[in-house]
Amino acid sequence: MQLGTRRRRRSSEPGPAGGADYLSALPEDLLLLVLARLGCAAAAARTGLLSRRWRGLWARLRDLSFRGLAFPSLQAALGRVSRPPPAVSLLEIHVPSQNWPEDGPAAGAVTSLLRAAALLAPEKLVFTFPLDSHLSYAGVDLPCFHRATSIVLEWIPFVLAGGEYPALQTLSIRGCEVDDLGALLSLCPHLRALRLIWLGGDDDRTTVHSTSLQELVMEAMWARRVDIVAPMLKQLTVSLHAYEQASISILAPMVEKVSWQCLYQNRTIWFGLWCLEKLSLQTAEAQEQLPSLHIHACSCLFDFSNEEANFAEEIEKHLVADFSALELHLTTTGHVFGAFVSHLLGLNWICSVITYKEA
Amino acid sequence: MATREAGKKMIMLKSPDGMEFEVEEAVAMESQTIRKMIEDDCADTAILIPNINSKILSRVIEYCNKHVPTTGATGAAASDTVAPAALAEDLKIWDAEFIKVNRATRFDLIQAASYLNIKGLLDLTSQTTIDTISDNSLEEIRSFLSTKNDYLPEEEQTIRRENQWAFQ
Repeated sequence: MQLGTRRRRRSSEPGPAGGADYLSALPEDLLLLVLARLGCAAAAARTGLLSRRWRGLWARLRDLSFRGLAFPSLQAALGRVSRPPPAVSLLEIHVPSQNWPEDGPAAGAVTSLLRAAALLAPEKLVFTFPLDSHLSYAGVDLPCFHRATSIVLEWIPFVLAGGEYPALQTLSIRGCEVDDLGALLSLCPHLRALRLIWLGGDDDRTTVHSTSLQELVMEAMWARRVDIVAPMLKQLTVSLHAYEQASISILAPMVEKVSWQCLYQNRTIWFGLWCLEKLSLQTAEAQEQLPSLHIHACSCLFDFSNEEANFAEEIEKHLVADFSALELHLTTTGHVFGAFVSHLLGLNWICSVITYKEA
Repeated sequence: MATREAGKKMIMLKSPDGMEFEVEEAVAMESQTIRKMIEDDCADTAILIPNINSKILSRVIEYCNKHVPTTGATGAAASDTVAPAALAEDLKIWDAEFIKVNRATRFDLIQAASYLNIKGLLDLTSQTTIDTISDNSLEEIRSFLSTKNDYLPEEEQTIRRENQWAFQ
Protein backbone atom coordinates (compact mmCIF):
# COMPACT_ATOMS: atom_id res chain seq x y z
CA MET A 1 0.00 0.00 0.00
CA GLN A 2 1.30 3.39 -0.89
CA LEU A 3 0.18 6.83 0.12
CA GLY A 4 0.60 8.12 -3.35
CA THR A 5 -0.14 6.54 -6.65
CA ARG A 6 3.37 6.66 -8.04
CA ARG A 7 6.37 4.91 -6.70
CA ARG A 8 9.33 7.10 -6.24
CA ARG A 9 12.75 6.86 -4.80
CA ARG A 10 12.78 7.85 -1.22
CA SER A 11 13.90 11.41 -0.80
CA SER A 12 17.24 12.16 0.72
CA GLU A 13 16.25 12.30 4.35
CA PRO A 14 19.35 13.01 6.39
CA GLY A 15 20.19 10.45 9.01
CA PRO A 16 19.22 6.83 9.29
CA ALA A 17 15.83 5.59 10.38
CA GLY A 18 15.38 5.23 14.08
CA GLY A 19 15.24 7.64 16.95
CA ALA A 20 12.28 9.67 18.08
CA ASP A 21 9.04 9.96 16.11
CA TYR A 22 9.10 13.72 15.76
CA LEU A 23 6.20 13.97 13.35
CA SER A 24 3.71 12.07 15.50
CA ALA A 25 4.81 14.20 18.44
CA LEU A 26 3.67 17.41 16.79
CA PRO A 27 0.51 19.02 18.19
CA GLU A 28 -2.59 17.98 16.27
CA ASP A 29 -3.11 21.28 14.48
CA LEU A 30 0.43 21.12 13.10
CA LEU A 31 0.10 17.47 12.19
CA LEU A 32 -3.08 18.33 10.29
CA LEU A 33 -1.25 21.13 8.55
CA VAL A 34 1.40 18.69 7.36
CA LEU A 35 -1.24 16.14 6.38
CA ALA A 36 -3.13 18.77 4.40
CA ARG A 37 -0.04 19.09 2.20
CA LEU A 38 -0.83 15.67 0.73
CA GLY A 39 -3.66 17.45 -1.07
CA CYS A 40 -5.59 14.20 -1.28
CA ALA A 41 -8.16 12.94 1.20
CA ALA A 42 -7.62 9.30 0.27
CA ALA A 43 -3.85 9.48 0.80
CA ALA A 44 -4.46 11.27 4.09
CA ALA A 45 -6.97 8.58 5.13
CA ARG A 46 -4.41 5.87 4.43
CA THR A 47 -2.05 7.38 7.01
CA GLY A 48 -4.65 6.36 9.59
CA LEU A 49 -2.98 2.95 9.56
CA LEU A 50 0.40 4.28 10.71
CA SER A 51 -0.44 4.29 14.39
CA ARG A 52 -3.22 5.25 16.79
CA ARG A 53 -2.00 8.82 16.77
CA TRP A 54 -2.99 9.02 13.11
CA ARG A 55 -6.32 7.26 13.33
CA GLY A 56 -9.17 9.33 11.89
CA LEU A 57 -6.94 12.40 11.72
CA TRP A 58 -7.69 12.92 8.01
CA ALA A 59 -11.40 13.34 8.77
CA ARG A 60 -10.59 16.54 10.64
CA LEU A 61 -8.77 18.16 7.72
CA ARG A 62 -10.27 21.51 6.80
CA ASP A 63 -9.53 21.05 3.11
CA LEU A 64 -10.73 17.78 1.61
CA SER A 65 -10.00 16.86 -1.94
CA PHE A 66 -11.42 13.69 -3.46
CA ARG A 67 -9.99 12.96 -6.87
CA GLY A 68 -10.09 9.81 -8.89
CA LEU A 69 -12.33 7.90 -6.50
CA ALA A 70 -14.95 5.69 -8.10
CA PHE A 71 -18.37 7.25 -7.83
CA PRO A 72 -19.83 4.60 -5.45
CA SER A 73 -16.93 5.11 -3.02
CA LEU A 74 -17.55 8.80 -2.61
CA GLN A 75 -20.66 8.44 -0.52
CA ALA A 76 -18.79 6.15 1.89
CA ALA A 77 -15.88 8.59 2.00
CA LEU A 78 -18.03 11.63 2.79
CA GLY A 79 -19.83 9.62 5.43
CA ARG A 80 -16.58 9.27 7.38
CA VAL A 81 -15.72 12.97 7.48
CA SER A 82 -16.25 14.57 10.89
CA ARG A 83 -19.32 16.70 10.94
CA PRO A 84 -18.48 20.29 11.79
CA PRO A 85 -16.75 21.31 13.94
CA PRO A 86 -14.13 21.59 12.67
CA ALA A 87 -15.72 23.39 9.78
CA VAL A 88 -14.80 22.18 6.32
CA SER A 89 -13.17 24.98 4.42
CA LEU A 90 -12.82 23.37 1.00
CA LEU A 91 -14.65 20.32 -0.25
CA GLU A 92 -13.45 19.29 -3.67
CA ILE A 93 -14.98 16.30 -5.41
CA HIS A 94 -13.84 15.36 -8.89
CA VAL A 95 -15.69 12.31 -10.16
CA PRO A 96 -13.42 10.60 -12.71
CA SER A 97 -14.43 9.08 -16.01
CA GLN A 98 -15.45 5.51 -15.46
CA ASN A 99 -17.59 2.76 -16.90
CA TRP A 100 -20.98 4.22 -16.26
CA PRO A 101 -24.18 2.29 -16.75
CA GLU A 102 -25.61 3.03 -20.17
CA ASP A 103 -27.82 5.85 -18.96
CA GLY A 104 -25.13 7.32 -16.70
CA PRO A 105 -25.09 7.41 -12.92
CA ALA A 106 -28.48 7.50 -11.25
CA ALA A 107 -29.66 11.03 -10.58
CA GLY A 108 -30.82 9.90 -7.15
CA ALA A 109 -27.30 8.82 -6.22
CA VAL A 110 -25.89 12.17 -7.34
CA THR A 111 -28.52 14.00 -5.31
CA SER A 112 -27.67 11.89 -2.32
CA LEU A 113 -23.96 12.68 -2.70
CA LEU A 114 -24.72 16.39 -2.97
CA ARG A 115 -26.78 16.16 0.20
CA ALA A 116 -23.90 14.46 1.99
CA ALA A 117 -21.67 17.30 0.78
CA ALA A 118 -24.18 19.89 2.01
CA LEU A 119 -24.19 18.29 5.47
CA LEU A 120 -20.50 19.16 5.78
CA ALA A 121 -21.38 22.82 5.15
CA PRO A 122 -18.19 23.68 3.25
CA GLU A 123 -17.11 27.26 2.69
CA LYS A 124 -15.98 26.35 -0.79
CA LEU A 125 -17.43 23.58 -2.88
CA VAL A 126 -16.02 22.15 -6.09
CA PHE A 127 -18.11 19.33 -7.53
CA THR A 128 -17.31 18.12 -11.01
CA PHE A 129 -18.48 15.26 -13.14
CA PRO A 130 -16.65 14.29 -16.29
CA LEU A 131 -18.06 15.27 -19.64
CA ASP A 132 -18.84 11.63 -20.48
CA SER A 133 -21.06 10.89 -17.51
CA HIS A 134 -24.24 11.74 -19.45
CA LEU A 135 -26.14 12.50 -16.34
CA SER A 136 -29.78 12.49 -17.21
CA TYR A 137 -31.43 15.87 -17.18
CA ALA A 138 -33.61 16.70 -14.20
CA GLY A 139 -33.73 14.64 -11.08
CA VAL A 140 -30.55 15.95 -9.51
CA ASP A 141 -31.49 18.33 -6.73
CA LEU A 142 -29.03 21.03 -5.76
CA PRO A 143 -29.36 21.36 -2.00
CA CYS A 144 -28.73 24.47 -0.01
CA PHE A 145 -25.11 25.23 0.92
CA HIS A 146 -25.74 27.84 3.54
CA ARG A 147 -22.10 28.58 4.41
CA ALA A 148 -20.64 28.36 0.93
CA THR A 149 -18.94 31.50 -0.36
CA SER A 150 -17.82 29.78 -3.54
CA ILE A 151 -19.35 26.98 -5.60
CA VAL A 152 -18.01 25.36 -8.76
CA LEU A 153 -20.17 22.82 -10.60
CA GLU A 154 -19.29 21.02 -13.80
CA TRP A 155 -21.39 18.82 -16.04
CA ILE A 156 -24.18 18.29 -13.56
CA PRO A 157 -27.70 19.01 -14.72
CA PHE A 158 -29.67 20.11 -11.71
CA VAL A 159 -32.87 21.58 -10.44
CA LEU A 160 -33.16 23.69 -7.34
CA ALA A 161 -34.17 22.01 -4.16
CA GLY A 162 -35.15 25.24 -2.49
CA GLY A 163 -33.34 27.28 0.11
CA GLU A 164 -31.04 30.24 -0.22
CA TYR A 165 -27.29 30.53 -0.78
CA PRO A 166 -26.93 33.46 1.59
CA ALA A 167 -23.11 33.54 1.75
CA LEU A 168 -22.39 32.78 -1.89
CA GLN A 169 -20.07 35.27 -3.59
CA THR A 170 -18.62 33.27 -6.46
CA LEU A 171 -20.47 30.80 -8.63
CA SER A 172 -19.06 28.95 -11.58
CA ILE A 173 -21.15 26.57 -13.65
CA ARG A 174 -19.76 24.67 -16.62
CA GLY A 175 -21.62 22.32 -18.89
CA CYS A 176 -24.58 22.05 -16.58
CA GLU A 177 -28.13 22.10 -17.66
CA VAL A 178 -29.76 24.49 -15.29
CA ASP A 179 -33.45 24.25 -14.88
CA ASP A 180 -33.97 27.88 -14.01
CA LEU A 181 -30.90 30.12 -13.86
CA GLY A 182 -32.98 33.17 -13.00
CA ALA A 183 -34.46 31.42 -9.98
CA LEU A 184 -31.03 30.19 -8.88
CA LEU A 185 -29.58 33.70 -8.97
CA SER A 186 -32.50 35.11 -7.04
CA LEU A 187 -31.46 32.76 -4.22
CA CYS A 188 -27.94 34.24 -4.14
CA PRO A 189 -28.38 37.73 -2.69
CA HIS A 190 -24.63 38.39 -2.25
CA LEU A 191 -23.27 36.98 -5.48
CA ARG A 192 -20.37 39.06 -6.80
CA ALA A 193 -18.84 36.91 -9.52
CA LEU A 194 -20.65 34.57 -11.88
CA ARG A 195 -19.07 32.34 -14.48
CA LEU A 196 -21.27 30.50 -16.96
CA ILE A 197 -19.59 28.18 -19.42
CA TRP A 198 -21.26 26.02 -21.99
CA LEU A 199 -24.55 26.17 -20.24
CA GLY A 200 -27.65 24.44 -21.45
CA GLY A 201 -31.21 24.83 -20.43
CA ASP A 202 -34.55 23.83 -21.77
CA ASP A 203 -35.11 27.01 -23.75
CA ASP A 204 -31.61 28.44 -24.43
CA ARG A 205 -32.56 31.37 -22.30
CA THR A 206 -29.83 33.05 -20.25
CA THR A 207 -31.33 35.26 -17.62
CA VAL A 208 -28.94 36.99 -15.27
CA HIS A 209 -30.70 39.38 -12.95
CA SER A 210 -28.67 40.32 -9.90
CA THR A 211 -28.41 43.45 -7.85
CA SER A 212 -25.09 42.39 -6.28
CA LEU A 213 -23.18 41.02 -9.27
CA GLN A 214 -19.91 42.79 -10.13
CA GLU A 215 -18.25 40.36 -12.50
CA LEU A 216 -19.88 38.22 -15.15
CA VAL A 217 -18.18 35.75 -17.45
CA MET A 218 -20.15 33.93 -20.12
CA GLU A 219 -18.25 31.53 -22.35
CA ALA A 220 -19.49 29.42 -25.23
CA MET A 221 -23.09 30.43 -24.72
CA TRP A 222 -25.91 30.85 -27.22
CA ALA A 223 -26.74 34.38 -28.25
CA ARG A 224 -30.37 33.59 -27.83
CA ARG A 225 -32.46 35.36 -25.29
CA VAL A 226 -29.58 36.80 -23.30
CA ASP A 227 -31.12 38.97 -20.64
CA ILE A 228 -28.80 40.69 -18.17
CA VAL A 229 -29.88 43.18 -15.55
CA ALA A 230 -27.01 43.92 -13.19
CA PRO A 231 -26.89 47.46 -11.85
CA MET A 232 -23.57 46.90 -9.99
CA LEU A 233 -21.77 45.04 -12.77
CA LYS A 234 -18.22 46.28 -13.41
CA GLN A 235 -16.67 43.55 -15.55
CA LEU A 236 -18.31 41.72 -18.39
CA THR A 237 -16.58 38.99 -20.40
CA VAL A 238 -18.77 37.30 -22.96
CA SER A 239 -18.28 34.93 -25.85
CA LEU A 240 -21.42 33.96 -27.70
CA HIS A 241 -22.40 31.80 -30.64
CA ALA A 242 -25.23 32.85 -32.87
CA TYR A 243 -27.00 30.59 -35.33
CA GLU A 244 -29.63 33.14 -36.12
CA GLN A 245 -30.37 36.70 -35.15
CA ALA A 246 -29.20 37.34 -31.62
CA SER A 247 -31.57 38.38 -28.93
CA ILE A 248 -29.72 40.38 -26.33
CA SER A 249 -30.86 42.74 -23.65
CA ILE A 250 -28.35 44.21 -21.22
CA LEU A 251 -28.82 46.72 -18.47
CA ALA A 252 -25.51 47.32 -16.71
CA PRO A 253 -24.94 51.06 -16.30
CA MET A 254 -21.82 50.72 -14.10
CA VAL A 255 -19.87 48.44 -16.38
CA GLU A 256 -16.23 49.53 -16.87
CA LYS A 257 -14.47 46.64 -18.47
CA VAL A 258 -16.01 44.78 -21.38
CA SER A 259 -14.69 41.97 -23.51
CA TRP A 260 -17.44 40.91 -25.85
CA GLN A 261 -17.40 38.51 -28.76
CA CYS A 262 -20.03 36.88 -30.88
CA LEU A 263 -19.45 34.33 -33.63
CA TYR A 264 -22.08 34.06 -36.34
CA GLN A 265 -21.90 30.53 -37.53
CA ASN A 266 -24.70 30.05 -39.98
CA ARG A 267 -24.30 32.91 -42.41
CA THR A 268 -27.55 34.38 -41.32
CA ILE A 269 -26.80 38.08 -41.22
CA TRP A 270 -26.32 39.72 -44.60
CA PHE A 271 -25.85 43.04 -46.24
CA GLY A 272 -25.87 42.52 -49.97
CA LEU A 273 -22.95 40.20 -50.73
CA TRP A 274 -21.55 40.54 -47.23
CA CYS A 275 -22.20 38.19 -44.44
CA LEU A 276 -21.31 38.80 -40.81
CA GLU A 277 -18.82 36.33 -39.32
CA LYS A 278 -17.67 37.75 -36.06
CA LEU A 279 -18.05 40.77 -33.95
CA SER A 280 -16.07 41.86 -30.95
CA LEU A 281 -16.10 44.79 -28.62
CA GLN A 282 -13.28 45.54 -26.24
CA THR A 283 -12.80 48.28 -23.73
CA ALA A 284 -9.25 49.57 -23.37
CA GLU A 285 -6.90 47.32 -21.42
CA ALA A 286 -4.00 49.73 -21.34
CA GLN A 287 -3.80 53.48 -21.54
CA GLU A 288 -2.60 53.66 -25.12
CA GLN A 289 -5.42 51.43 -26.30
CA LEU A 290 -8.80 52.59 -27.49
CA PRO A 291 -12.09 50.90 -26.80
CA SER A 292 -12.77 49.25 -30.11
CA LEU A 293 -15.37 47.45 -32.17
CA HIS A 294 -14.20 44.81 -34.64
CA ILE A 295 -16.47 43.60 -37.39
CA HIS A 296 -15.44 40.57 -39.43
CA ALA A 297 -17.36 39.99 -42.63
CA CYS A 298 -16.78 38.09 -45.82
CA SER A 299 -18.22 38.48 -49.28
CA CYS A 300 -19.78 35.42 -50.79
CA LEU A 301 -20.50 35.75 -54.48
CA PHE A 302 -22.03 32.33 -54.76
CA ASP A 303 -23.98 32.28 -51.57
CA PHE A 304 -26.19 35.26 -51.80
CA SER A 305 -28.96 35.47 -49.28
CA ASN A 306 -32.32 36.74 -50.38
CA GLU A 307 -33.34 37.21 -46.81
CA GLU A 308 -31.52 40.38 -45.93
CA ALA A 309 -31.50 40.75 -42.22
CA ASN A 310 -30.80 44.18 -40.93
CA PHE A 311 -27.01 44.14 -40.62
CA ALA A 312 -26.77 47.37 -38.66
CA GLU A 313 -29.54 46.43 -36.31
CA GLU A 314 -27.81 43.14 -35.58
CA ILE A 315 -24.51 44.83 -34.76
CA GLU A 316 -26.22 47.36 -32.59
CA LYS A 317 -27.43 44.57 -30.31
CA HIS A 318 -23.84 43.99 -29.23
CA LEU A 319 -22.90 47.58 -28.46
CA VAL A 320 -22.91 47.17 -24.73
CA ALA A 321 -20.18 49.77 -24.22
CA ASP A 322 -18.96 52.90 -25.98
CA PHE A 323 -16.13 52.50 -28.43
CA SER A 324 -13.93 54.96 -30.26
CA ALA A 325 -12.19 52.75 -32.80
CA LEU A 326 -13.82 50.66 -35.48
CA GLU A 327 -11.92 47.93 -37.26
CA LEU A 328 -13.40 46.25 -40.28
CA HIS A 329 -11.92 42.91 -41.21
CA LEU A 330 -13.22 42.19 -44.68
CA THR A 331 -12.47 39.01 -46.56
CA THR A 332 -13.17 39.36 -50.24
CA THR A 333 -11.82 38.31 -53.59
CA GLY A 334 -12.74 41.58 -55.24
CA HIS A 335 -12.86 45.20 -54.24
CA VAL A 336 -16.54 45.65 -53.89
CA PHE A 337 -16.72 46.84 -50.36
CA GLY A 338 -17.47 50.47 -51.07
CA ALA A 339 -21.21 50.26 -50.60
CA PHE A 340 -20.84 48.08 -47.56
CA VAL A 341 -18.37 50.36 -45.85
CA SER A 342 -20.32 53.49 -46.56
CA HIS A 343 -23.39 51.76 -45.24
CA LEU A 344 -21.58 51.07 -41.96
CA LEU A 345 -20.05 54.52 -41.75
CA GLY A 346 -23.38 56.12 -42.30
CA LEU A 347 -24.86 54.51 -39.25
CA ASN A 348 -25.82 56.85 -36.51
CA TRP A 349 -23.77 55.02 -33.82
CA ILE A 350 -20.60 55.84 -35.68
CA CYS A 351 -19.68 59.50 -35.34
CA SER A 352 -16.15 59.50 -36.62
CA VAL A 353 -13.90 56.69 -37.57
CA ILE A 354 -10.50 56.68 -35.96
CA THR A 355 -8.99 53.43 -37.18
CA TYR A 356 -9.73 51.86 -40.50
CA LYS A 357 -8.11 48.65 -41.59
CA GLU A 358 -8.60 46.45 -44.54
CA ALA A 359 -7.71 42.82 -44.23
CA MET B 1 13.34 50.36 20.97
CA ALA B 2 16.52 50.82 19.00
CA THR B 3 17.94 53.36 16.63
CA ARG B 4 16.59 54.93 13.50
CA GLU B 5 19.96 56.34 12.51
CA ALA B 6 20.63 54.24 9.49
CA GLY B 7 17.03 54.55 8.42
CA LYS B 8 16.50 51.04 9.70
CA LYS B 9 14.81 50.30 12.93
CA MET B 10 16.46 47.48 14.85
CA ILE B 11 14.82 45.14 17.24
CA MET B 12 16.19 42.67 19.82
CA LEU B 13 14.95 39.09 19.92
CA LYS B 14 15.81 36.96 22.96
CA SER B 15 15.75 33.21 23.13
CA PRO B 16 14.93 31.46 26.43
CA ASP B 17 18.53 30.25 26.68
CA GLY B 18 19.66 33.85 27.02
CA MET B 19 20.95 34.61 23.54
CA GLU B 20 20.11 37.96 21.98
CA PHE B 21 19.74 38.65 18.29
CA GLU B 22 19.59 42.15 16.92
CA VAL B 23 17.61 42.19 13.69
CA GLU B 24 16.04 44.77 11.46
CA GLU B 25 12.43 45.38 12.31
CA ALA B 26 11.40 44.53 8.74
CA VAL B 27 13.10 41.15 9.07
CA ALA B 28 11.47 40.42 12.43
CA MET B 29 8.13 41.42 10.98
CA GLU B 30 8.29 38.51 8.56
CA SER B 31 6.82 36.81 11.61
CA GLN B 32 3.17 37.80 11.88
CA THR B 33 3.33 37.11 15.60
CA ILE B 34 6.14 39.61 16.11
CA ARG B 35 4.52 42.04 13.68
CA LYS B 36 1.39 42.03 15.82
CA MET B 37 3.45 42.61 18.98
CA ILE B 38 5.20 45.57 17.39
CA GLU B 39 2.00 47.02 15.97
CA ASP B 40 0.23 46.62 19.29
CA ASP B 41 3.19 48.34 20.93
CA CYS B 42 3.88 45.32 23.10
CA ALA B 43 7.50 45.24 22.03
CA ASP B 44 9.82 47.09 24.38
CA THR B 45 13.56 46.92 24.19
CA ALA B 46 13.61 43.21 23.52
CA ILE B 47 11.13 40.52 22.63
CA LEU B 48 11.44 37.21 24.40
CA ILE B 49 10.62 34.32 22.11
CA PRO B 50 9.59 31.47 24.38
CA ASN B 51 10.08 27.81 23.46
CA ILE B 52 12.47 28.50 20.62
CA ASN B 53 16.11 27.91 21.48
CA SER B 54 18.91 30.02 20.11
CA LYS B 55 19.98 27.42 17.56
CA ILE B 56 16.52 27.30 15.97
CA LEU B 57 15.89 31.03 16.38
CA SER B 58 19.09 31.84 14.52
CA ARG B 59 17.97 29.59 11.66
CA VAL B 60 14.57 31.28 11.61
CA ILE B 61 16.22 34.71 11.49
CA GLU B 62 18.45 33.47 8.67
CA TYR B 63 15.29 32.46 6.77
CA CYS B 64 13.56 35.79 7.41
CA ASN B 65 16.67 37.72 6.40
CA LYS B 66 16.63 35.98 3.06
CA HIS B 67 12.91 36.33 2.52
CA VAL B 68 12.31 39.89 3.60
CA PRO B 69 11.13 41.89 0.59
CA THR B 70 14.04 43.96 -0.60
CA THR B 71 13.63 47.70 -0.85
CA GLY B 72 17.06 48.32 -2.25
CA ALA B 73 20.21 48.26 -0.19
CA THR B 74 19.27 45.82 2.53
CA GLY B 75 22.30 43.70 1.92
CA ALA B 76 20.22 40.82 0.66
CA ALA B 77 21.04 39.17 -2.61
CA ALA B 78 18.28 40.90 -4.50
CA SER B 79 18.66 44.12 -6.37
CA ASP B 80 16.58 46.15 -8.77
CA THR B 81 18.38 44.67 -11.70
CA VAL B 82 17.32 41.10 -10.95
CA ALA B 83 14.15 39.93 -12.64
CA PRO B 84 11.41 38.69 -10.28
CA ALA B 85 11.45 35.23 -11.88
CA ALA B 86 15.19 34.88 -11.38
CA LEU B 87 14.78 36.10 -7.82
CA ALA B 88 12.11 33.49 -7.13
CA GLU B 89 14.31 30.81 -8.62
CA ASP B 90 17.22 31.94 -6.47
CA LEU B 91 15.00 31.78 -3.38
CA LYS B 92 13.83 28.29 -4.30
CA ILE B 93 17.40 27.05 -4.56
CA TRP B 94 18.27 28.78 -1.31
CA ASP B 95 15.23 27.21 0.42
CA ALA B 96 16.18 23.74 -0.79
CA GLU B 97 19.64 24.17 0.76
CA PHE B 98 18.25 25.74 3.91
CA ILE B 99 15.93 22.82 4.64
CA LYS B 100 18.68 20.19 4.35
CA VAL B 101 18.68 19.63 8.08
CA ASN B 102 18.14 16.64 10.29
CA ARG B 103 14.65 15.60 11.25
CA ALA B 104 14.78 16.95 14.79
CA THR B 105 15.77 20.39 13.52
CA ARG B 106 13.09 20.31 10.84
CA PHE B 107 10.35 19.57 13.33
CA ASP B 108 11.67 22.29 15.63
CA LEU B 109 11.49 24.62 12.63
CA ILE B 110 7.88 23.59 11.92
CA GLN B 111 6.92 24.44 15.47
CA ALA B 112 8.85 27.69 15.43
CA ALA B 113 7.28 28.69 12.09
CA SER B 114 3.88 27.89 13.50
CA TYR B 115 4.40 29.85 16.73
CA LEU B 116 5.94 32.83 14.97
CA ASN B 117 3.42 32.57 12.15
CA ILE B 118 5.80 32.67 9.21
CA LYS B 119 3.79 31.25 6.36
CA GLY B 120 6.64 30.69 3.92
CA LEU B 121 8.72 28.77 6.44
CA LEU B 122 5.72 26.73 7.55
CA ASP B 123 4.95 25.85 3.94
CA LEU B 124 8.57 24.90 3.30
CA THR B 125 8.97 22.73 6.38
CA SER B 126 5.63 20.94 6.11
CA GLN B 127 5.97 20.37 2.37
CA THR B 128 9.45 18.92 2.86
CA THR B 129 8.05 16.59 5.51
CA ILE B 130 5.19 15.41 3.35
CA ASP B 131 7.53 14.91 0.40
CA THR B 132 9.49 12.44 2.47
CA ILE B 133 6.45 10.31 3.24
CA SER B 134 4.18 10.50 0.20
CA ASP B 135 4.66 7.78 -2.39
CA ASN B 136 6.09 5.37 0.16
CA SER B 137 4.55 2.27 1.66
CA LEU B 138 3.18 2.28 5.20
CA GLU B 139 6.12 0.21 6.42
CA GLU B 140 8.58 2.55 4.75
CA ILE B 141 6.93 5.56 6.31
CA ARG B 142 6.87 3.95 9.72
CA SER B 143 10.54 3.11 9.57
CA PHE B 144 11.24 6.52 8.19
CA LEU B 145 9.43 8.44 10.88
CA SER B 146 10.28 5.92 13.60
CA THR B 147 6.56 5.47 14.11
CA LYS B 148 5.68 2.44 16.19
CA ASN B 149 2.66 0.51 14.97
CA ASP B 150 0.63 0.27 18.16
CA TYR B 151 -2.47 -1.27 16.58
CA LEU B 152 -3.72 -4.74 17.37
CA PRO B 153 -4.17 -6.76 14.17
CA GLU B 154 -7.98 -6.67 14.54
CA GLU B 155 -7.92 -2.88 15.00
CA GLU B 156 -5.94 -2.57 11.82
CA GLN B 157 -8.56 -4.65 10.01
CA THR B 158 -11.33 -2.39 11.34
CA ILE B 159 -9.60 0.71 10.07
CA ARG B 160 -9.05 -0.83 6.67
CA ARG B 161 -12.71 -1.76 6.55
CA GLU B 162 -13.88 1.69 7.64
CA ASN B 163 -11.73 3.36 5.04
CA GLN B 164 -12.03 0.82 2.29
CA TRP B 165 -12.79 3.61 -0.17
CA ALA B 166 -9.30 4.99 0.35
CA PHE B 167 -7.53 1.70 -0.32
CA GLN B 168 -8.95 1.03 -3.77
